[in-house]
Amino acid sequence: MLKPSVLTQLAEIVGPREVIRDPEELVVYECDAYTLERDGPLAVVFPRDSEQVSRVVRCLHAEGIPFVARGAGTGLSGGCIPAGGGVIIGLNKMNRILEVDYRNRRVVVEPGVVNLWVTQAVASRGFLYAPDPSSQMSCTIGGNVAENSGGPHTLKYGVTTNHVLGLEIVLPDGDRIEIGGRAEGYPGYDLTGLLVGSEGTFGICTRATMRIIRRPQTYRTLLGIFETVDDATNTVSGVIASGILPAALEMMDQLIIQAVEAAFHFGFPTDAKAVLIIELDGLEAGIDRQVGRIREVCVQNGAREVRLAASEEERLALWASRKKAFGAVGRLSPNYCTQDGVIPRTRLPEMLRLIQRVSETYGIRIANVFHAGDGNLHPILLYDERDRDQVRRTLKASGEILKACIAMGGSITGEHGVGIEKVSYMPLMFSPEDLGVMASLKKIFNPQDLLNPHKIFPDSRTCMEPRGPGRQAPV
Amino acid sequence: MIESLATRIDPCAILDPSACERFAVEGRRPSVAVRPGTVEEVSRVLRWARDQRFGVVPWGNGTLMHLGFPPERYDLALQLDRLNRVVDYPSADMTITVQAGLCLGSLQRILGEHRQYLPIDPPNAGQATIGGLIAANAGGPRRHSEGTLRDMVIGIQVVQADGSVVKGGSRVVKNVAGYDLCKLYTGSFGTLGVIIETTLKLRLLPEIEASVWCEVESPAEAESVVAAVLDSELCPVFLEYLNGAGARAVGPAECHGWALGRPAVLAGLDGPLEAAQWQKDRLRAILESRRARPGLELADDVQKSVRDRLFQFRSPPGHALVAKANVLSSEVTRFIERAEQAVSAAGIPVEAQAHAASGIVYLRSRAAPPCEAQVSAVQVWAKLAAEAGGCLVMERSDPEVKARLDVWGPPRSDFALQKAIKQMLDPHRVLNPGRFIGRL
Ligand SMILES: Cc1cc2nc3c(=O)[nH]c(=O)nc-3n(C[C@H](O)[C@H](O)[C@H](O)COP(=O)(O)OP(=O)(O)OC[C@H]3O[C@@H](n4cnc5c(N)ncnc54)[C@H](O)[C@@H]3O)c2cc1C
Repeated sequence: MLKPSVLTQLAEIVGPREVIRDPEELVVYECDAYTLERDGPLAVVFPRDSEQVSRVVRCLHAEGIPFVARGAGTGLSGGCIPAGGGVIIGLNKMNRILEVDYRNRRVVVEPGVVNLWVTQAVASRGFLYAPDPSSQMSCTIGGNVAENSGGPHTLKYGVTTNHVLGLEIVLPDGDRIEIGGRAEGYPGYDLTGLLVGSEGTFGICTRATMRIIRRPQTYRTLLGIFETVDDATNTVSGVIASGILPAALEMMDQLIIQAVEAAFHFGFPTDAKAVLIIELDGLEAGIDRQVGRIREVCVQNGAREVRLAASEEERLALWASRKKAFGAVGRLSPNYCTQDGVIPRTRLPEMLRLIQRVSETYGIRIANVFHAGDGNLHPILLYDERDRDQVRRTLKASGEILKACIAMGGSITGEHGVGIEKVSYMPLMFSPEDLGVMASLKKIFNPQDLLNPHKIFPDSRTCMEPRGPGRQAPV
Repeated sequence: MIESLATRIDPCAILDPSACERFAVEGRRPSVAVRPGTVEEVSRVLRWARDQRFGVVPWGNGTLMHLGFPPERYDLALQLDRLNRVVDYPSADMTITVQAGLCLGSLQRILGEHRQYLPIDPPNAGQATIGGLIAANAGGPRRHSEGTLRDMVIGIQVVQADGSVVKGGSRVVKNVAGYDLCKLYTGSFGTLGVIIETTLKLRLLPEIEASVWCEVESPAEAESVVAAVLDSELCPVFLEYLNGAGARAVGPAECHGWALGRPAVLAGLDGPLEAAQWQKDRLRAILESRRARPGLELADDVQKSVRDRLFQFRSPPGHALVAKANVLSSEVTRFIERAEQAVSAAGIPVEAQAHAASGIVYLRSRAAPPCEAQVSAVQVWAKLAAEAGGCLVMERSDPEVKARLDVWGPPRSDFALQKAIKQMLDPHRVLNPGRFIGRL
């Protein structure tokens, strides 16, 4: 419980209507889209500007109360769970695009701006914001900055960190600082690079300056259809080796194809074992020669059919189906948990066979829809949280997949973050010295560990008990 | 000193004292120079240096050693060029893991066999080591399309000042596990740790290289061309602006305006054959619509030498003064014009190159005006850079000039954090003491 005096102070800063304290309403804030673990906040506050964020933080800091920033709550690693209790600072009301500068290809936004809004705001002038997480219709720039989010087009255009130039940050003691800025390459340590991907443990982002890019002149979007998963994964290696860099290279396996087809009726062949979405973009001149080459690679690797999106509408429909694939998973199972390991992309065939074996061993169905071109897996483990044994088997199966990623020289997470979910895997990937440097950095920014505690690194606090029954993932 | 070091590492790794001359930085010489052959030796040397509170300057091949303040203490030069192994090159994954002492020239040759490359174009690319380039986050014109090393380093291994080895990132192209230590060490100028190994994300070599040299009447016309290109569907790999004197230093001899010292815009239109051709046509149309002179497409051999001079611009032999500014792209031509005007009275002729789309500007002067004039020139430039949205870094000047100036420009609002990071990771200030921003 928060002391009444603290509640009064918070209400004074943001206004009484911007403070949630009713236990019923707080339930929504117990978790994000990773629903295996939960913890309730003491209150949620919605500041309107960075000055208010700073004052809220100052107040909580003075009282020694932990707090965590929250955007849209679409995170997939439990990043915005107030672990151990604390106050949630919701950034959703700070949702203005402050500036668009086409000449310099910059936008300045508040953290609560939804990812897709940025592209929508600049589309009429032929620009876009490149990082496009599948959740882009709801996730916020603040969340993207915290998680260093990627998306299907990361393959060619890079992730959030490659597009953020400057940030305004409220530090955990309430101080406001500017890092980076509108120009490129300020001298000094790259604190912007360090902040992006720090999972909301270094400071609260209250403003971001980001690049926008020109929309490519044209797109060619292919759908490769395969009889076996191996053929599809071999094609991925073949495409990467072909001398052509696609803008996106995504894979969906049969379970996902069936769920997506049932939900959106795009026309996916439900008998295929896997499909690849391969998108080329750039200048019209010469692109069809590249398309021809990609077709060849698909066919050489046993593709049953290669379709080319015939129109912009078809292309968009294809992407909509892909991006809403997670949403369709609800049809397969009451609950699911998505993993996010990364491996060298040439080892996909091996890895997908391993996932299949893990699925059989633990009796947990696993669907795959992922950023194949980057080697960034998203095995979706299907379970029913009312069955405690299934929950335990799901966690075990996840662990086995992540360990295999580490063994291949990869990573336990490519874009969703460690959050609370993967803390126990960090020591498998990093040595005590590596973790020591990271811990020192955290001490510099967040010395009392009041901001988003118990995340990323294992600490003395035991893992939260998986709870159930509860809600489904809010997607 | 040497005896106590010789008990810790292979004595052959300790260079003859006469070699110390080679490792002079801004006129200061170390007492001993070491070329370790293993990572373990790097650790031992650093631990030893830390225990004695020595100042250590890590060396690649010294191509950018003139950057920064002179070292406050300089006891030991640590040259890493023996650590030059390719650790792993899974070419089909388009990543490579190499030791930091490998030079970029060798790396590009290895990658070229698979039609891949690391898309950076720093000066002295042949000799510069990967570790040194990462420490300086060095890049070149192609940063507009490919970013800088910051965007390519996906894994890093560092020996810390206490000798312990730390790694960040991994060997895969996407990874958000833990804090992004790659970003911390990239551009840290060897003040936080000694980079010993890295994994890099690679690109495919373009099918063809094409460059078009566009002479313009004035800086204002250059800005209008740059703005039009950036607002068009063209996707140049680089877009450079050169003021009159800069154009004369870089440009092709057969260009009409060469003798007149007209400014120029240089567009790199590399890519697939058809795309490059389309871009050349489109650029011609843009120039025509602005009534600018037609561009000159550079023939292959000319193109190569122009590009070489372009990449080398920042590190010219025999120039007394080089400064780098980072400003907004839209301010580039005006900033350069004002920077020229500000010092013309003092008789300092300025050659300028800009990565026009990225806002990175290099100002250089062959003349060595009196110290006083250099100091005031840099001060005015810094003020102009601030007005154009950025900072000015003094890269090369007479030592007396550096001694009187803040070569990195004034610290910004995040300086307390910068200082805390240095303090935490190198508490005894062993690594490059006093060389970086705020004399960290
Ligand atoms: C269906 C679905 C598809 C997805 N697809 C992708 C994908 O393709 N690629 C991808 O990378 N991710 C994807 N995600 C994960 C998720 O959408 C991203 O991690 C996203 O960036 C989270 O944004 P958010 O606003 O929801 O942040 P939240 O979930 O609210 O918060 C995430 C983290 O950010 C911190 N945070 C939020 N705002 C701030 C701020 N202003 N300052 C500091 N810290 C802050 C929080 O404390 C928390 O640690 C997907 C999720 C779902 C549910």
